[in-house]
Amino acid sequence: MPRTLHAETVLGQSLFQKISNCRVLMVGAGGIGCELLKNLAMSGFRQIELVDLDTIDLSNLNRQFLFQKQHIMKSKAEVARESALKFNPNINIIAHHANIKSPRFNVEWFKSFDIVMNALDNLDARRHVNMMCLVANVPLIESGTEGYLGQVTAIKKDETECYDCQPKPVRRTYPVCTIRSTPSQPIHCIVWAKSYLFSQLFGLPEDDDDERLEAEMTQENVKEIENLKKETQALKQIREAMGTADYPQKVFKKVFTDDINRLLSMEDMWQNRKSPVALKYEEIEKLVTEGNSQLNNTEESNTLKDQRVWSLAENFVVFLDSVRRLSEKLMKEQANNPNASLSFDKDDPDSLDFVTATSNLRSIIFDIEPKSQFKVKEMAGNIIPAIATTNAIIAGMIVMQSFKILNEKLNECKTIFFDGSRRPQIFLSESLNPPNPECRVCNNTHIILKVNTKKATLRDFLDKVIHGRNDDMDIGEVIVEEGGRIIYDVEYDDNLDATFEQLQITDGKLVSVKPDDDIDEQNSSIFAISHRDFETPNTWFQVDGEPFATRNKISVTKSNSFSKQKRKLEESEVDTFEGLSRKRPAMNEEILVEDDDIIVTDSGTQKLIVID
Amino acid sequence: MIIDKKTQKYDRQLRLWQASGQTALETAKVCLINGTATGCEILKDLVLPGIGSFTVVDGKIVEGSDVGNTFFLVSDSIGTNRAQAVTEFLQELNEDAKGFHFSEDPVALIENQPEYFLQFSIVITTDLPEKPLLKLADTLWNAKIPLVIVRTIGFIGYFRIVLPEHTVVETHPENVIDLRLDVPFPALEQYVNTFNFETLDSMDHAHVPYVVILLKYLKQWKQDHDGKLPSTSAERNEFKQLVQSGRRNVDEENFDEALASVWKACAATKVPHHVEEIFKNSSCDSITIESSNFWIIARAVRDFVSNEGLGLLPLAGNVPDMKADTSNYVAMQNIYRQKAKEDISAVRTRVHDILNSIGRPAEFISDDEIDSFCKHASFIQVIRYRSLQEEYITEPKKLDIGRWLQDPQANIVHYVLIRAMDRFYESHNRYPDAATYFLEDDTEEVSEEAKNEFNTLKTYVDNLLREWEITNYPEHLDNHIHEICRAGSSELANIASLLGGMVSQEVIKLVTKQYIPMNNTVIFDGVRSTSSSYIL
Repeated sequence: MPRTLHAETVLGQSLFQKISNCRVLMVGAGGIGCELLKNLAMSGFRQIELVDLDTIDLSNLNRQFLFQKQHIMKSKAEVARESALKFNPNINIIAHHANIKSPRFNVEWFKSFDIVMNALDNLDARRHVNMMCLVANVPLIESGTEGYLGQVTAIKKDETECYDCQPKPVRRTYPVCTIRSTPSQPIHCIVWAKSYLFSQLFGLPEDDDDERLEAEMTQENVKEIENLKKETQALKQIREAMGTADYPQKVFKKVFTDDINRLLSMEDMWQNRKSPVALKYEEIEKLVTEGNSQLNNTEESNTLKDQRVWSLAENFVVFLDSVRRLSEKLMKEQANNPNASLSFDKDDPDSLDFVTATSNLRSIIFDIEPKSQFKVKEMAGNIIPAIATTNAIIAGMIVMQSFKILNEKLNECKTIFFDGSRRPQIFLSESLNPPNPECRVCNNTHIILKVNTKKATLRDFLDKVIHGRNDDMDIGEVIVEEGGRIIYDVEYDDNLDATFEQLQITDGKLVSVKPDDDIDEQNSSIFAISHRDFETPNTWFQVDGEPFATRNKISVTKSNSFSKQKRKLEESEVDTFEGLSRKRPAMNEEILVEDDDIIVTDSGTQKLIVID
Repeated sequence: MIIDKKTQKYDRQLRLWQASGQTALETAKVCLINGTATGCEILKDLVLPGIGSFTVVDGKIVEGSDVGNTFFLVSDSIGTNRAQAVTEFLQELNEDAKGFHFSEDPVALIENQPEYFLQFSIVITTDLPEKPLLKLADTLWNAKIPLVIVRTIGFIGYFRIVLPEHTVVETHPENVIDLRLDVPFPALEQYVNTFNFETLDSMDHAHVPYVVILLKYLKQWKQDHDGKLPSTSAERNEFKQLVQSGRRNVDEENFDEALASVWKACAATKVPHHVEEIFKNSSCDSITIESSNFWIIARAVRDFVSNEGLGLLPLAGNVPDMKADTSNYVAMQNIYRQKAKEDISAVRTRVHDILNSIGRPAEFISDDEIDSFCKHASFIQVIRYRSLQEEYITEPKKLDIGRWLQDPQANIVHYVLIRAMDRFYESHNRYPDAATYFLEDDTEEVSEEAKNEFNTLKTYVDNLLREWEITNYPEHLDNHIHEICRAGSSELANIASLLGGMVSQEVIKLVTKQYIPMNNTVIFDGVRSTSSSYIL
């Protein structure tokens, strides 16, 4: 019996043929990715490309079965490819150890696939692939798991909701002053340890700390903000002592004694709050030497060691020791690369020790309940539980969806929710929704713009592509943006004679163009840039698609059907939006729109221009 | 303070089932009968999280089609013992799990030496014909060893859990907070009385734990309402107003928390209905030397409730995070913990008395186990499964099946087909398979051979329906019979993987005794991406 008999029999010849010819892109080779790659290989897919920027960690091995101990620190994409080929030598797998957002994965590259499958673990990359698939008009299967829960859905431009049609929960952020001066919950201390102190001591010497502080400056806290800036400066000086024997002690005294005493001197800060109590290095040291520390007291069983809350003395010892360990690690790296820095990694014991001890010492100061290392790890690392079973189920569902897409039965695809911990309904499925007309990601025109980025200027672009196409439909003044920065608007024409290249609008970049008369982004067009060595000015551009063509097609009723209230709600989420509109300039913050205006301006279609 | 390697490796799953679940997993011995594609996927998902050991029992030799649908087999495996080949590859996934293989025909083994299977903590079968299956099920049932029966046919997956009784303490409910706000115990009342809201300065007032706020105002309310709690929504709103009146300014987050919990505070604390049912169970009445720890503790808790518990279960003692300064928070936490400790200690005494009465030493049940039971007392679960004997022979669910079959969308139809295929196998020593006649071309035209196959299988379906006294033949059955004939008994790698995930998840629940497993049959339809569970 031939190897493929089972698959051929069940799937039928015609689908089996389509599967063999299908070019599939898998983004992510982690928990879902490993399962997916196996299932694709076993289902008869023969041309698979695989992108993952991650390397293998010990904590992956409980589920990412293509990886083993000897693969730790190696590229996930490459090892996944090797392991899969070992069992299926007859298929073609191309692995990229790279960020999917890298410019080489441009729209044309996306276009070369018949289907894209996301097996990702973060919002940012999901949004990027979503956008690229919209521009390239390639169907996307999106998935995710968390513990016993999982989800799969299919996305197709103009036919279904895109990834961004529904608002996504946003990461919680905390005011700088809460973190730096007035913490009241364990999480505040953990964020301080991980995001502030860790990066100040071992991270890239950040200059934007001041900026961040200033951004939150108000009349009430102006003095405190100034103090915090000084605090950061002083810490930078201490950092120069890194590597000396008393460096950990210096840091300790600075952040747990001096800075706290400084805070205490701000009396009005503590009128309605419990005031902090500074730690005294010598006193705790004495505690430790007198043997009050339970450091060597391992009454609990091994697995529970990190689930116990450490004493003051323990936190003290671990803090000093982890500062020493991290300093040594950083200096070792700096010996090879002077610009080296460390970043917090929840699975790195040194980092985790540091954050646990640091946050607990700060909690003790502010009379907040300290937490066990196990708990700190969960809170600091945003740890999402993960098991093989759920990933296997979701990966199987992805492949089932792909069969339907290949059979051109998108309408049979469903959004599937899986819950393995509840009874009796394991799967819930719902039909795919049509695109949300208010979505500012998919509700626009996506165009590939082939252009000689070395020769063509912004002025050429505006004259030839935006205004020069059809006089009847000239759209008037526009705003041009790339990656959140303004390239051009009516009041900012400095860049007109710069070439695309000079403006760093290169191959793979996305340029958004929207009429200046519109209030929200639904009227933009997005151009995907693809560089071509065109030689004459007349052919510096080749536009694949009709920018702004559908601008007048949007029906009045569609705009009307969304109430003003809903519009306001959507707009208020702009700030939380991590995608294209993240850095929208302040002048666009005008939110309230009269329904009448919408009709007049014929809003509804945003056009995406892809510079090729 | 360096976390040991094992905790690090299993970190992402420890967050689901903790160290206790992991220990249970690591001491479990799993047996897989037949190293099929689905079987290997199940084992993969058990070996990765660190199951203690696995044993593959399989008498077959690896064929080309096995390599085609089983990821862990390579061309070189063809012609070797399947049990050994799959075990070797699975072993590579995790050195912590010990792999064994037994290249013996499982049918013969069940026939001649069924006691072989009593060494395992759970047995999983794939592709086992009806007759040996019934015998194995009987053997394991008597030994109280869980059996999971698994089938994959084309796009269809099926599994059935067989086990006399499964008891769960750690069911992982979403909300385990029990604050006794409606019935505060004396120590809690005393603590609340130490607060004099009027004299508190603004900082302390904003840090009074919300539990104290609610208790204070509930006490006041009860005084004004003949000792009754707010019961209607109007009363609850009125009560909210009362709480609100004590607030000094909008910044007091502790008052926000109090207001958000008013509804909970007004709900009466009592023994949940399903726990009362468990207490009524005969296993709870008659405790003997045979009784499991679960039932012994359940009995002790039942007696606690009707005596010193004053009608309530032992207190769990957990206090949620809330706006409060550490000293107040810790003080309150200690009051709840102290009460929980007292309750547990009372239950422990009762457990020891019961153990004594049946001639067991007090250490027979560990304090940890009693502790855990008391903490989860409101959420314990008992599942009594039906035996395979009952399902197949003595008490088939005739009426239910007949009723379910009337819905053409219902997945029960696949069950009928699986049972009919087994009957087919019984007589022909092979499964229905007209695949080769269909494979020639993709046309809809059906060959003579395929028609024969269809009619034979249909006869078995008819027989089953007759046995179940189902008189009106559901029309949609024909399409499914046709599909089975077309696909034969082919296992699709993708469905094998999906079902493997579903089954191993249930196995982990059974082994760790955490979360609530399915009862008793699950049928999955890959084409429609739906699953259904039936008690058969």
